[in-house]
Amino acid sequence: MSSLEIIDLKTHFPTPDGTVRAVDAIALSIREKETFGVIGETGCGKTVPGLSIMRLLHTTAMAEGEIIYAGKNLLGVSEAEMRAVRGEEIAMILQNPTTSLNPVLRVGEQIAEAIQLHQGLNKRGAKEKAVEVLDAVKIPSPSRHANEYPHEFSRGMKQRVMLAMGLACDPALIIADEPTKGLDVTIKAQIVELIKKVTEKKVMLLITHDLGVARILATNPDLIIADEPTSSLDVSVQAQILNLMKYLQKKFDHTYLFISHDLDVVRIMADQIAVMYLGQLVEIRKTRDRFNYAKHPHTQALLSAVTRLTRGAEDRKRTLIRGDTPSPIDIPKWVQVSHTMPTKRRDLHDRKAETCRNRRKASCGMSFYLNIENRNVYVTANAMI
Amino acid sequence: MIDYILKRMLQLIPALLLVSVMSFSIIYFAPGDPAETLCTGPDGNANPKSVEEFRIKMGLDKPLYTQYLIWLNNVLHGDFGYSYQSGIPVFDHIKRAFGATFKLSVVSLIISLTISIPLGIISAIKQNSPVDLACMVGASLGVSMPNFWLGLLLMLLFGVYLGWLPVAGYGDGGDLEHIILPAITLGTGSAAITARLVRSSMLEALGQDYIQTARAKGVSERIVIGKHALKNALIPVVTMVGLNFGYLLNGSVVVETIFGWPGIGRLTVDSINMRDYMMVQGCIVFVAVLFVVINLLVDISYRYIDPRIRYEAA
Repeated sequence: MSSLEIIDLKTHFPTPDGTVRAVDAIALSIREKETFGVIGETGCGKTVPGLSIMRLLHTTAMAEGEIIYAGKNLLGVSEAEMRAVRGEEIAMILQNPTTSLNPVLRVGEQIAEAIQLHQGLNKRGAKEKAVEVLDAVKIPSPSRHANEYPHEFSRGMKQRVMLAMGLACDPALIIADEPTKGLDVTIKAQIVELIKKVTEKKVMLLITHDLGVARILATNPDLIIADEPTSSLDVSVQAQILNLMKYLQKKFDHTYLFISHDLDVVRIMADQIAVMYLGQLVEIRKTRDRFNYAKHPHTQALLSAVTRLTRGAEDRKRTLIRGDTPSPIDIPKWVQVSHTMPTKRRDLHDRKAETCRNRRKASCGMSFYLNIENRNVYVTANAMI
Repeated sequence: MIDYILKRMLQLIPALLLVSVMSFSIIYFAPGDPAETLCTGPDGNANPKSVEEFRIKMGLDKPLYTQYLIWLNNVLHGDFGYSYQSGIPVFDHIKRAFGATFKLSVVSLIISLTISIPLGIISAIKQNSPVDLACMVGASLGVSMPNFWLGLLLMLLFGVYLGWLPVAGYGDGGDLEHIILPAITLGTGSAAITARLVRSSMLEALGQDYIQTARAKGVSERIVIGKHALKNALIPVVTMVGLNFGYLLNGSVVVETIFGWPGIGRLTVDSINMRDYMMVQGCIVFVAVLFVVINLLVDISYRYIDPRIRYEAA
């Protein structure tokens, strides 16, 4: 049985330069207890169906077609009926928690508002319920935080508050518009897990450009790209996150493309490691081959720079990198010393490197193709990949 | 918070010293002489002997810096001197005049806010509609109309032709009848400016993401506007209204003069005309203190409207 059905929805915005067809004749059907992902790049109009369902579009916008929810066409009901639906039956978690929370109202008050409105609770009852919801989204000491203002919250916490606000009245359908946009990957992962947990028995329409998030929430993920997921955390938390990622990988068969500058982290996580330097992939090898046999001078330097606490470790000779990183405009010869990649890949890479050399350009946008096959590949990046 | 207020109060000291030195010297160097002005009889000639006597009595024969230091010393002992003209202590004059100005200011502020806030909100909600256009044309008119002209028109209409209200005067301690016309005159101008500001900051607030959040919760449009948008929109408005109230409290010379309102603005100008040095000096210092205090109050009030603001006595 379908919970929400969108039939031939057209949402157009008339502008002086002509009509913008933000959504043009889309049709979709969301079953009960299902998570449905909508993916697309920025500006492709993926937020608009969500706003059309909620009827929160700008007054000049024109929405045609049918949005059938609980047997009625939401595009046809009165504004008062629509208000009763909003927040209570369908909740929308808007993107960007920083600007989506009212800066001058207390967080608890903002959550309690919908509860008071839809569930007929008095102010105190609604406040208590709001604290419960904050607790459910794992805000620590929720009763204290309920009395704080949004600016006292971190971004991840604000996102949790947005979630709490959406879940406050236990809606049947949740529209999540980029629920993890602008968050650190770690916090993103937490939020994603949280969404997963709290929306278990609910219908969710997820709008995102983030394939990773969509995959985790909507289907089983095949590949997750983690860009510096632990770089700003302290060691104990870092370990927790890494363990969590490993656990998730085993459970869900994730594949990670793990980007980090931290060799220890990568040793724990990766099966294969690629070292990047000055926009080039200088070395790829399997983790079990040990770093000690690294051929490229930069890899050697990187390795020797790692502080070890084992006995006698401090006696070994360090290769220190002298001076600044060479300019990527004029890449020195030694950068391309060694490639210990499989032949095929190597050929591909050499050609790329050749082009780079010839152009003598910074961040030459080198793209490379890795054979991932459920293996973790490590890229230590001094430049973008 | 208390540290912050204390710090601001300390900053007041150099400002007041500077203000008093400047006003003291300006009056001193300005043409005219209080002794001659006061001692001029109906025949138009001052008696040189009594002029000289007055000068010595009031210490006007001493050099400027000595006069200033004497004045400063007295002020620090709580003595603002006596009016040359009436012989009554300056402070009593100021107290009475300020009472009148305060009444007028409060009433005009109330009038100004009751007009401007609803108009600003309506214009913002009905942006680009005929209602909005009418409000904003009205606001432009209100800003550009000189208030003495508006005052005279109101006087003519309600005082002369309709006879509903007294034309001018203070009445029985500034009763409502007498206060209405000058208050409307003063309130209209500031209402026009405030309405424009309310409109623009409301428009800004209504475009924010949290408004969408509120709507997505199913909150009615009235609460969206009256609670979520207005509370944010009021932050800049408070600054302006506060400063405006500061100006009102300094007394509007023009309006007080045409309506015969015995306020602080008129007192200052009259004292200047009479070369009543002590009065002028007292008025100027009083107004300066008032302005700084109002500014401080505005700054403190932010804290209650905008929780993001914290004060530190840095």
